[in-house]
Amino acid sequence: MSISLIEENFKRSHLTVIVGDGRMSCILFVVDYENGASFKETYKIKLPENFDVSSIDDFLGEVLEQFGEEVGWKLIDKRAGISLPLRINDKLEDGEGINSSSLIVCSNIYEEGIKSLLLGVEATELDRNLQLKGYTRYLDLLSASDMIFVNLGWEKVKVYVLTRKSSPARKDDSDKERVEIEEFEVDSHSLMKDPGLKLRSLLATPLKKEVLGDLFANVFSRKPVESASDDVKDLLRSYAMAALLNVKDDKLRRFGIETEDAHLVITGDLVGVLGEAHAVLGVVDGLQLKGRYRIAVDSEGEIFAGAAVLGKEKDLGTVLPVTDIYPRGYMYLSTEKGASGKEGKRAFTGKILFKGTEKTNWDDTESLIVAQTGQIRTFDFKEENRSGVGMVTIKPEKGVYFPNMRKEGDSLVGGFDENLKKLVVDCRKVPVVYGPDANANHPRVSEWLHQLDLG
Amino acid sequence: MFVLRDKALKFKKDQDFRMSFLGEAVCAVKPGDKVQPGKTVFEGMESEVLESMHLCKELGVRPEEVGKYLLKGDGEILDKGDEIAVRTVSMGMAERVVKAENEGRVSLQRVDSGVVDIIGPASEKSVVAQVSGKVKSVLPSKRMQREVVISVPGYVSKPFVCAGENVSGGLVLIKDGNSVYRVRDIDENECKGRIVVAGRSLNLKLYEAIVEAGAVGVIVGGMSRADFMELGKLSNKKGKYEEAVDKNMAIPVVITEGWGTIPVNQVLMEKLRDDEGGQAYINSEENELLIYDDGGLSGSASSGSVSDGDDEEDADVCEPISGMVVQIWDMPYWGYSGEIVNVMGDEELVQVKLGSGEKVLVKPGGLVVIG
Repeated sequence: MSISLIEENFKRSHLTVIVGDGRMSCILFVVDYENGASFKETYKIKLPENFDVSSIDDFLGEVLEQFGEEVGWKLIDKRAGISLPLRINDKLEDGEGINSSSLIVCSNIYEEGIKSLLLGVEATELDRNLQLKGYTRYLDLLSASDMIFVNLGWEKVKVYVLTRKSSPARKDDSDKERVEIEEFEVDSHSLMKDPGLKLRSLLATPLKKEVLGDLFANVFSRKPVESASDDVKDLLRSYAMAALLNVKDDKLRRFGIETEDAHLVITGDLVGVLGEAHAVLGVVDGLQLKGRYRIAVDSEGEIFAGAAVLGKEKDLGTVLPVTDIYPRGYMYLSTEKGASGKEGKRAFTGKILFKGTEKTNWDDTESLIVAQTGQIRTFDFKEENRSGVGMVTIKPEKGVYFPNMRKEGDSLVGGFDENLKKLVVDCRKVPVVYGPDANANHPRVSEWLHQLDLG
Repeated sequence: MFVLRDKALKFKKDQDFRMSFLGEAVCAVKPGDKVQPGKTVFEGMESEVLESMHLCKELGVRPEEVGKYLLKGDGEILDKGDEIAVRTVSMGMAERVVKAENEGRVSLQRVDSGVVDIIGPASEKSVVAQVSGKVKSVLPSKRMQREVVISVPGYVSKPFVCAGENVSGGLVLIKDGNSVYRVRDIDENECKGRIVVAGRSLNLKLYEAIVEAGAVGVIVGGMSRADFMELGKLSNKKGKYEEAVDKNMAIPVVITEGWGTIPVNQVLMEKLRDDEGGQAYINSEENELLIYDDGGLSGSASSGSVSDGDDEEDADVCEPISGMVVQIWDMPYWGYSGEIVNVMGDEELVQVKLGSGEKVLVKPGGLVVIG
């Protein structure tokens, strides 16, 4: 997946500012093409209660000044108390200036004609069309066969299912002819009416009905950007799951099982609050996905930024490598029908075979893996002195079945590359059971989250 | 790390402050007039409220049902002990009877909120200004109520919820103003005609007791959302409420922080304590609470941690530094405020000392500098 969007006349630094629902994210990409080094810094901050997007520079100036200080890159030139943009059109001196920038404003707060003098750009509305265009570009750039984008927002949970059409596509076919897109949307208001009733069977933290109602309404009105609280994360995981359980589609049943190279992307304003483990568990169990697929969790809004920039064809020259706007993810393998019999029995034994960095003797750089039924196990791909490229072989026990993997002898095989950081093997019994209440969920959900070591 | 700064109180010069008169009145001021404390604003005939009865509690019904059980009409004369409302319960085996404790006339002006007032005979009354400012407008009489809008300086806070009618009045605190209170803590003599600061939690019983004590408004840190929906006028603005329930409230409620039991933030509480007895204005239309203060004009604000909105604003984002007053927006201390005692930059954590003395660790994204 070494894809570069950089054209010959590339720029060296790009700043993307995303104004979401209650938060602002800044993403600074800097690449030095002479020595091939690059870095990416991100920061997100809650927006003030009275934030007015039409006078965004008032707030943005201060954010960029602080952000610049924090990452050691001067973004704002403050003269006589006035913040001026530090734009550089030619070569950069180390540690200062931006060559290009983009301002992305989510649809629910977008207003026509918003401009930022600091960034020197007009705002781009991250509307449905732009997102779909961007998502389709991702599908192409990643050479994926299928992609699911789950956008966990405060107002709505949206799901976009993209499937590449099986018939050979001509190069000049439009996106519509090459890719099938299905959309689903669940409004949070329907869940807010009685969260105690609607989330009861999904929550893992026992809370009184009244306390739960207050917490739910508080969190959704204040819209925090991060949380250290298990109660808040559990609430949002249950909310995401409850919303996604409403999404029923045949393509979801095929995803990961009959798909060649499937990607699940989790993005949206809630992801930063949820954290990766809660987000993955909520979405995988909410959509009831099984099989083999990749997962990318977008905590910083990179994919939003990427989708907006990729959706605008003429701006491609200012973008950085797609690997910088697509987070490194996980390879997810799960049983399809589940392991029969009691939990706690051996589900499989296997190996992670790393391709050696200099020699190609696979056996020299292998890792043994094993898991029990009822468990989720997480294994590192990127170990010291290992390239991060290789393959996973799994030898399932009797009664355990991993779908969508190549068969070699009595083993199942799947490859991985350096864009994946961990392997997650989900050996929980299918269907995964929640409920009847938080007390019943507490021990098992806590264990799954602990086992889902994505930190 | 850096965090959001969103001041809990801002000093502003020209803020609307409404004074009202219920009854037939002549307005003694006109737009453009300057008023000082003690200047007469209204002169007219007004009937004093002798007794306010929250009949929902007495009859065990919802506010909108109270009218069905009334035996007296609006303006009807009452003797002490007269029956005002009766509700038959237990399959006709028992009755709930509400009797007048005072002589007077029935006023059903607030019956939609479940409240029946007994008022005395109309007498001459003049209303004098408690604030100094400039008359902005004199509003025409509406439902026998005259209103004057005076432009005044003061400290403005943006509460979580301001619901009910717009109202002004003197501030009074129940005890220290920031604990959990019960009905027995309400002192009728202190509350009458005042805006009551009622601590960190308001339930329906406490609200009814405050209404019956004759208060004109209530300020509280938190309230259960379920209780609020029972009495409240909910709308769907700013995503704060999930459904619209239109009800008349007996007196307006200001919830400063959020749903549940949450203390009023330190900055606002300090100001409310300092200004007890001073004037405040609940502006539900603008979702604002104004604490009148002309001292702020000369820069002698009683609280050192409030901003002067008309001068240069403090930055909207800042580095967290020890000594800053912050509010936590994360569980389990949702809405609590305190002082930063330690910034752990490497761990991206901030240690906050709460009012109770307890020290807690918070992620920077879960707090806002309010002082």
